[in-house]
Amino acid sequence: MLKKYSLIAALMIVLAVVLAACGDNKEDKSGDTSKPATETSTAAGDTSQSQTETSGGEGATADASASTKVIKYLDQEYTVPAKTDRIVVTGALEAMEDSILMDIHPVGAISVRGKFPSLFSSIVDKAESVGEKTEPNFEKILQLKPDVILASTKFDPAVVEQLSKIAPTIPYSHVSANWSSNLELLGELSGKQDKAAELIAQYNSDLESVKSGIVSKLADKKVALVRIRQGAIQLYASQVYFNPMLYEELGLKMPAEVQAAKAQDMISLEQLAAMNPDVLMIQFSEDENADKPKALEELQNSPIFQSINAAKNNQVLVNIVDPLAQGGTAYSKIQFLQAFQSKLGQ
Amino acid sequence: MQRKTILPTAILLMAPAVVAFIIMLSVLYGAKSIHAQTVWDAVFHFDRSSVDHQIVRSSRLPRAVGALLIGCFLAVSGALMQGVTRNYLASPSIMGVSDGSVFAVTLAMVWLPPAHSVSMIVVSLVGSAFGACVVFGLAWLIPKGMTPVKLAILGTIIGMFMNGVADAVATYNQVSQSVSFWYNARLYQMDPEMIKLSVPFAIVGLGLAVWLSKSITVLSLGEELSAGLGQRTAVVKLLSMLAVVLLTGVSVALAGKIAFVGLIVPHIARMLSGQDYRWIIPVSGVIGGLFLALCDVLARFVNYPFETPIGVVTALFGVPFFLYLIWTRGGGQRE
Amino acid sequence: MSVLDVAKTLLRIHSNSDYDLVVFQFRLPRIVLGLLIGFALGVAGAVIQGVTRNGLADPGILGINAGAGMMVVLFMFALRGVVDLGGILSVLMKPMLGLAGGLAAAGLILLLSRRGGRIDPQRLILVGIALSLGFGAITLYMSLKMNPQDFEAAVVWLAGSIHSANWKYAMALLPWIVLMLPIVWLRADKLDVLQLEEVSAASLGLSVERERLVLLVGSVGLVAASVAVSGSIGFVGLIAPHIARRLVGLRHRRIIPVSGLVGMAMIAAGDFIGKTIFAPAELAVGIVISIIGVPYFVYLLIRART
Repeated sequence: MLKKYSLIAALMIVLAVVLAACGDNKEDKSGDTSKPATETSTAAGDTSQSQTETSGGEGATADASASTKVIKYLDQEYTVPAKTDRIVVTGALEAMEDSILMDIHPVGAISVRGKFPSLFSSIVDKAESVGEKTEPNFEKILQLKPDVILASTKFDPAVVEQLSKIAPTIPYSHVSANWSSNLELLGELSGKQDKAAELIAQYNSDLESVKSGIVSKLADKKVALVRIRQGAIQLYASQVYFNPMLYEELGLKMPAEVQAAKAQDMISLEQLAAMNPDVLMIQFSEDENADKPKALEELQNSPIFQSINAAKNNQVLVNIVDPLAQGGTAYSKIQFLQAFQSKLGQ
Repeated sequence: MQRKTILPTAILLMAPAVVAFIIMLSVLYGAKSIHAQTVWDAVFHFDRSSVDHQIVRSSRLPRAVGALLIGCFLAVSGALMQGVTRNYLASPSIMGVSDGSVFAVTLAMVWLPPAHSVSMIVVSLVGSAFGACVVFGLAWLIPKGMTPVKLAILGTIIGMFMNGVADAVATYNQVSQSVSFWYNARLYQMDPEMIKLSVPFAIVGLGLAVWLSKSITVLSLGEELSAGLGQRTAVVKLLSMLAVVLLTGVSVALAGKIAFVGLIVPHIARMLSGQDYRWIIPVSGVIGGLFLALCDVLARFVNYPFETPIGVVTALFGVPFFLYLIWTRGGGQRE
Repeated sequence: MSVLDVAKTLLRIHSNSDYDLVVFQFRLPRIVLGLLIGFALGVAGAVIQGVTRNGLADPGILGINAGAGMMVVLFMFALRGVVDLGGILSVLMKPMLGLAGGLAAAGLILLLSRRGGRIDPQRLILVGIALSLGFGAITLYMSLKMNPQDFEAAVVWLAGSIHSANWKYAMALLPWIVLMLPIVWLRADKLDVLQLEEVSAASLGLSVERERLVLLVGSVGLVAASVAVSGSIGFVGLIAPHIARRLVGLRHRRIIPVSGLVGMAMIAAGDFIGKTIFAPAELAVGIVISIIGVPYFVYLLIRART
């Protein structure tokens, strides 16, 4: 009996040790990094100490000037190192989108299905994957020695807590109403505050001009935007996806169905036909329709679809923005506005 | 026994009328109310440019017909399974048959897109065969494995296993939401082409079911008894499994996994027509179709104007009924 | 990091703050949590199989997992980042909800499986399955309405993963184990007696009903607590007792702890595989165990027959 017990116990301990020891052996660089001098901060988000660690060969790093700065974002203060060049983005595709606008190149980014989507190709040249969207790989992130980590407000607090043990972590908001604060945050982190301000101002003025041009043309037309996922047509609630832009900012009339929708709702083709929009925008991504890749085609060929006003008058716009765009980010909004203006504006 | 056959006969005779009625109901009411006259015209004086006519033809009719057919197939499958295993909980969704289909189709979706309608059906059939074999094979291996409880557990476990594998594959390919879309069936996306393609398979399945119904009645009386009466039980079991696989496979290929129909309807049929499977099977078919069609109408209105997955509506009826069955029947083998 | 580095960090020789972080904040809590969960599930499985006298019983099918899952998804769906309590409380919010959901489901099952005032073990399992299906349907319904990003997070949780393990979770689970283990282990002998027919057991002086209840409550508590921190991990409670039985025989005094240990080993192995096979993406430990565990279980069953 005892032998069996000890066998089991031994097995377990061996397993545990193996687990502990192996981990991510693939990415093994030695622990004492030979990376160029960066300030590593092992402080949790709300301490105000930051330690600087010298790596091999460096002289004493100058920390005469303040080595940290305080950033205010969405009514919360975060203490981050003065230089925040090494940014890791995890969980928030919104942050990646906005980085495109601000030309920020993170050192760690989210991969989708193991690689970086082409949408982000301009900014991932220096980046390594830190895991898929919802499960960041903590050890990998630690290895990258970031100055600051951009997480997501949708993250499980436990994940954010683990991340903040590596570096100051700021949860990037996924709520579209905070788009300008998001841009400003990126501006502060990258030292490009002017760019952020410029983008915001530009957007607002563009918005005004589009509004004045369009308002007369589309004032009493029904405009709607849907997304196709797994072959099913999804309609979104008024505060979600691109709807705030359409109905609040541009001031278009909100169809009753959109008002009735909560978050994301499946709508049948028949129902869409009953809604009968005059202008219909369809977002369709192959990634999200792996089981029904022809869904868009089938939809457009369906006689019921062709009976919709938008279809009859050639006012169906497919993928007006990149289908992976989240909708609420500055990037999404700016792209959308431009596309909207060019397709419908004249 | 004469009295007992009055009710089922009546049901079967009335069936066509009720079916027509349900179709009318289903077609008339939906997102948009369409007048009966319009429906009539749509069927008989089709006008291509009218939206309403289009709706009737390409959306509502297929949907209604689809619901009726699938309900019928699943109910008959359930009746067959319950008869052959003498197990009141036997049904395609609990016993892993539907899960097998879904599993196979999920893998096919990820690894061999795009799939033609026919190949989808075939894949689905292979899947249900696989699911059935695994579950029943295991049940046969384990002592007292064919009792309701053990069989139900096995079905659940194998189902969970297949879901697990499908999940892994889906996660790796980042299609996670699609997997659950599949589990929740989509009756409103009925493809008329696919319905037509599945008819041959269904006819074979239904034909087998009806042909075997007498033998199943004997089988349901007990293993030794039927062997003693000279019945070739193995053959009967095999053929009925084939019918189940055909019918369930076709249903899943058409619309995804719909649970509880195969469980509940045979019991209702039994309540109405007694123990003779020659009645139970056809009556199950009729009631099954009507039940699902009704659920479909409900699914359209519960969350108006949006669609509710039909699996939720059937679960609404199914879970309480399941609990009721447990209450009255307990866990042992049926007498 | 090499094995040597790990050893050095553990022994606090030449400690390096990065290594410390990795080992003490990431790997160690995850291992420890995994072990605790494996232990809890293994023990709970052994007890439930004993009480229901059904070698196929698995804590996962009892509906506790599904109930906990439903609560968590409900929370994710309804509150979506609105509530922010900060600090310990927010980290523990999901586990607490999961626990509440799991316990509520467990209570419902126990209630519904009474027949004539006594708990019928057969009925317990069936009711569990029925409720699982019900909760599952509700969960899927809500998840379809969620934003896909929220949904992905829900799926990960539902699948059973210890990705964001931390010491708080471990601390949340530990008391349950410390509390429940003695409750069930001290009754191990009574569990042996319960394997007999009810009448015989009663005639041996055992108050069958009460013992059953206590044992069930104990095991259900363990399951709910594990599910709360890790999501739904099934099959551990199913397979571990079988392996334990093959190793140490039929006496529950031995089976219970050994089953716990086997459970630990399963989770340790499963998590390791899940982390490395698709690196850097992770496969949830619950899924790994489903994939590997079930064929192995079938093999066990076939062996047992011959």
